[in-house]
Order: sequence, then C-alpha cells, then structure tokens
Amino acid sequence: MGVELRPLGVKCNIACQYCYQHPQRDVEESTKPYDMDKMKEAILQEGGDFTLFGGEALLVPIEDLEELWSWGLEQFGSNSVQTNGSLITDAHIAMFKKYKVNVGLSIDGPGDLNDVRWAGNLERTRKLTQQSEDAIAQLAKEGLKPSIIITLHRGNVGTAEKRKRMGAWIKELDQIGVRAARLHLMEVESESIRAIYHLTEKENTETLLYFHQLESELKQLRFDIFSEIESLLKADDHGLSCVWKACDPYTTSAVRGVEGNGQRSNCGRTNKEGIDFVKSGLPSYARYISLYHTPQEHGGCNGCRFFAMCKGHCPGTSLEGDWRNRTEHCNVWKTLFELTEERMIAEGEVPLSTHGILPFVEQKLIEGWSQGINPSIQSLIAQAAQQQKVS
Amino acid sequence: MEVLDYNIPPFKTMGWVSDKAKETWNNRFEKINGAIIFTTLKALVKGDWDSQYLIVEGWSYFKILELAAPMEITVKATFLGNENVKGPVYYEVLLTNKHTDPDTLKSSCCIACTTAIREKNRKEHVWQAVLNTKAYQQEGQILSLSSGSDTSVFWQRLLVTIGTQHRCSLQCKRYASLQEALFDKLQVFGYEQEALWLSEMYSWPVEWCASHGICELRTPIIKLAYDTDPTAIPHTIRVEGDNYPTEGAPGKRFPYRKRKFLRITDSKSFKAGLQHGS
Ligand SMILES: C[S@@+](CC[C@H](N)C(=O)[O-])C[C@H]1O[C@@H](n2cnc3c(N)ncnc32)[C@H](O)[C@@H]1O
Ligand code: SF4
Repeated sequence: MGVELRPLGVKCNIACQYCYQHPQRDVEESTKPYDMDKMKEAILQEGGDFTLFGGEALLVPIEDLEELWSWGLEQFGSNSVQTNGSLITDAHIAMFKKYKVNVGLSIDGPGDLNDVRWAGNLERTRKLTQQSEDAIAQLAKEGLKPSIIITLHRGNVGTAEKRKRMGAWIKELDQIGVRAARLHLMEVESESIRAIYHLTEKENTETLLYFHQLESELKQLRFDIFSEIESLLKADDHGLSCVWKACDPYTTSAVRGVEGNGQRSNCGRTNKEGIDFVKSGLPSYARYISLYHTPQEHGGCNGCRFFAMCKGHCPGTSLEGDWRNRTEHCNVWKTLFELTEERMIAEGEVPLSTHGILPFVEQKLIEGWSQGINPSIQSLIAQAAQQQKVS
Repeated sequence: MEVLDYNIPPFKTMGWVSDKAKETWNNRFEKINGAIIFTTLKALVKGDWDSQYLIVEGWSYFKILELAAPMEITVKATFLGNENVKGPVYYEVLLTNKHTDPDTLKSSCCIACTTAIREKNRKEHVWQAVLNTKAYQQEGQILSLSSGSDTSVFWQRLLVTIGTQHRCSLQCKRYASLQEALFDKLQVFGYEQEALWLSEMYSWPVEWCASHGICELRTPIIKLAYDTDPTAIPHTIRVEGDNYPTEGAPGKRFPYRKRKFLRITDSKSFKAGLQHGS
C-alpha cells in the first residue's frame, strides 16, 4: 500500500461501532482545514501514488476531489479511494471513470446485517446502508469493479442464519461482478464493544472456514485471506498485506499517512491513545525479536512453527491492546495455517512450516531485525539456494 | 520481577505527539543538554563540585571530551551496553576536576547500586527503586508515585541527566539535593530558561512500562520505546505530575490529559447503537 491521504483526518459521516479510529475521534479537536498544496507536496515527498482515505473520504467537497484526482491521474496514471459508499452519487461515479479511481468499499452485509456501521439512529443507518448497497450495484453496472471490505462480528455472522444470509449476499456480489473481498477480523477498541460484537475464537474460525468453503462456489469473487496464507506456507511473501510483514507500530511502513496539513502519520490501527503520533524515523523490529523469544503463555510466539510467516500478526490487534504481545486472534490464524498445511502435505507439497529450511529462515529473520532490516522470506530462500550452489 | 532469558538488542524509537510539540521541544532538549554539560564543567572548574556523574548519549560524550581537556577536567567513561552490538550509544561519564583523583573517590549508595546492577547485567533498576521509596501505591503490576519524586531517571534516553545510571530509590535525599544544586547552578551560570524548562519537564506526569524486553515511556509530548530487561508480564510505573505542557496532547489514557466527555463513545447516539446491537 502507498500513501493514505486523509484531508479531513478521521472525520466521518457515520460512526461504525467498532471503528479503530474512535480513540482519535474521542479526544481530538474537531477537524482542521486542509491545504491542497501541502498535501500534494507531502504525497510527492512520500514517493506517490495515494489512496484517498479518512474517516470518510467522500466528505471532501466534489470540486476538491476533482482537483486531487485530476492531479493524481496526471502524476500516477490512476487513483484509489477507500469509502463506506454511503455518499457516492452519480457525479462521483462519473469522476471515478474519468480519473481512473479504484474503489474500495466497506460494508458488513445487506440491510440489518450492516447495522453495526451505525449512523446515529436506526432509520438513518438503514438508509445509508441502502445507499452503500445501491452504490455497489451501480459501480458494478458501470464496470468499475469495487473491492469490498467486510468486518466480521456478531452483527453479521453471529448466528448460522446470519452467516447464511451473508453467504447469499456474497453470491449476489459475485454475480454482479465484484471480484475481490477482504475479510477483517474485528479489532477491539473497548470492552463494551468486545462484549456486544466480538466473535469468540471458535466463531471467528468457523466463519472464516465457512467463507473459504463458499469461495469454491463463486464464479470470480475471491477472499484474499486464504490465498495469502497459502502463499506464506509456500514461502512466497511478495505483495501480501501488511499484517504479515513485521509492522513496526512507530513507523507502520505499509501505511504512510498524510494529513490535511501535510503532517505525516501512522496507520490508525495501533493508535490506542487517541493521539496521531508523528511518524518516527527508522523502523525498529524489536517487537518481532521479542515475540520470537517470549513464551506463548506470556503473550509471545516462542516455539510456534508458523512464526516466520505470521510474525505475531498486526500490532493493532495485540492481546491487551499492547503491541508487544502477539495478536489476540492467534488461534484463528493458527487453525487456518494448520488446515492449509495439512492440505498441502496431502497434495504432496512441503509447506515452509515443516520444511528443513525453517530454522535458517528464522535465524536470518532475527539477524536482519537485530540490524534494523526486515528481509522477505523469498529473499532468504534465494540466499539459502545461492549458498547451497556455492558449497 | 521475573526476568526472562533473552536480550533485546539496543534500540530507541520515538513518536512526538505533534509536529508542533516536536518543533518546540526538540530545540529545548538541545539547549537543556548543552546547559547541563556547561554548568557541570563550570562548577567543576570553579571547585563547587570536585566530581560529578552525567549520563549522556554518544554525541554528547564526544562534546564533553572536547570541552573537558582545556579545562583540565578528567573524563572517565563507562559504555552502557555492549560495544559489539549496533544501536544507540550511551555513556556514564565521571568528571573530576584537577584537584581530585577519580580513582580514590568515596563510594555512595547510588554508585554501589549502579555497580551491583551492572554486575547482574541488568539494563534498568527503576522498578526496584520505586519499591524502595517510602510512598508509592501498588495495584497489581502498576506502581504509582506522587509528584515530587525524582523523575530524572526516566529521561535518561532523551536528555543529559545528572547522577549515576541507577539509584536505589526515587525519593532519595541525596538525589533531591543534587537536583536542587543543579538547578541553582544552572541559574548561576546563566541558564535560567533551561532550568525552567527542565523543572517543568520533571513535573510532568510520566509512565514507564516494561514488557518482553521493550520499555515504552510516555510523556505528554513524546513517547519512546527502547530495550530493557525482558519481563514476562508488563510492569508499569506512573508518576503523577503537577504540570501539563501546552504542547501536550489530550489522550485516552495515562499520562495524557483526559477529556471529560469522549466525543464519540460517550455520545447519546453512539450509546443508542450499542443498545441496538446488544
Ligand atoms: C477506518 S475505515 C476508513 C475508510 C472508510 N471510511 C471505510 O469505511 O472504508 C478503513 C477500514 O477499516 C475497517 N475497520 C474499522 N474499524 C475496524 C476494526 N475495529 N476492526 C477491523 N476493521 C475495522 C473499516 O470497516 C474499513 O474497511
Ligand atoms: S465509515 Fe470507515 S471511518 Fe467511518 S466510522 Fe465506519 S469504518 Fe470508521
């Protein structure tokens, strides 16, 4: 991922109950005005192509969107936006086409299954959900192929009946031409949210397996989670999501945020204090060295054969909200790794988790992290192959 | 404090709460560092002090070496950490004037404490130092200290600090009078502004929290993470402050100034959503 541009910071037209940006909204002063020149300068300094992000990106007035996207097209050849979809109008769709804007749209299901993406009261919530659903249909009709993000919680997959309805809806999305969907396990920001919406480990695992099964019945729509796990077990970590890449919470290298005043910021997922800390200089990989050594009963990953692939996952989802721990979704990921590993072995493949090269990869990862370098698994495998050739 | 059997290589990473805090305080940090170094050297030359310890980062150490020689001040440095491992570099420097032999100095409780901690290969001693103070509160693994405690030790990774690396208590009379003497001398040698900034900083709320060999230190303007002794569970020290800087950020947890009303999650409409979801 490149630059996330947040002209209006985390300002949003709705207030999804689980949003990881609420700590910031809770304490921050209300939004400051943005400065087009400073934003463009910061994007260029960061090395360009940007996703218009938020809060809600489409709260930016249409004239300013046009200015940003026409500039983006000229500079980078295309544009991207991440939106909740509820504010998309025909004018936006025309601009998406004109300025080659790739649209990412977040929605957790149709109708009441999306109620957690709350808009102040039930009537407004349902109305905006309908608008997001209509927007998906319209985008698909216009050939704009939105990619969808679905966050999993009790509100949309908490019962067998809800899960079935989600399945039917995903089949509809597949029919109308949606090709990609990302499934988010919910990151918990407060105990009240956990109590009401968070799925148990078992429910999260069952839901993911349900979607995995569903994938085989779909024409073209794919969930990236499953292919990413398989790629990792095949030692191919090229182009995967940031959660598998030893993200440093002080620099979040996959997310280079640019705020409306040009200030650089980090990914909001690790922001538990509600403070948008200025990005640090060089990354540190201390979390990963520490997780490798710390016993699992104390929140680490010591002795786990999937560590080189999973690396304790996203620091934003860490146990107790403390990035020094591994993810609280550890057992969910472990199950997916185990099942994929089992299948690969049955098919005659040797997954990285059981391969003789694993200790070498782990050792080289620790050596790299100790020197402030974050090597890819692929590069380490290539290095091992080279060494073998020489000897 | 159960310490696990591994070592996190030296590192330091910082996050300012805003560009404004950085612009204001980065510059002040540099001035405070310069003021402490010059004040100490001048006090030694004048004979106010015969010897003094400073904890400094690498670049300050070289500055001290350069300045001390013409003043006939002897510099004896101890590298803090392992010289063979890459990372930020700190020294404990013992400065003595021409009338004093650094090898025949009398020991004190903090020198003895520092030596003992180093012999055990421990990086920090603040947890035990708080347990050794008279007035602290304990709630599980969180220790709280009132303001008026010696917080200088928490700033060692950011600022030049006076005194040895470790101390046995954070409410030690010797340290309190050393700090007082430093503030007096800063004023005498023309660093009134730096003295004001430093005393302001020492009165801010601070949180030190170590877990798995990583310490996270939070102050109202900057947070930093650095290597420490690897504990199985988090150990937290909170020092209540008397002051909060204008550049300090509001935040959801200690030590940040909390808002009485959280704009989203305390709102009626948000709570209506929770009600609907439950
Ligand atoms: C913070 S939103 C900002 C962009 C835009 N408003 C949107 O909804 O797509 C980015 C993505 O993070 C997801 N998200 C927000 N809070 C989350 C949480 N606590 N756990 C998992 N995903 C979350 C949202 O559903 C959305 O897909
Ligand atoms: S629409 Fe996006 S930014 Fe707004 S509350 Fe929902 S997840 Fe957060």
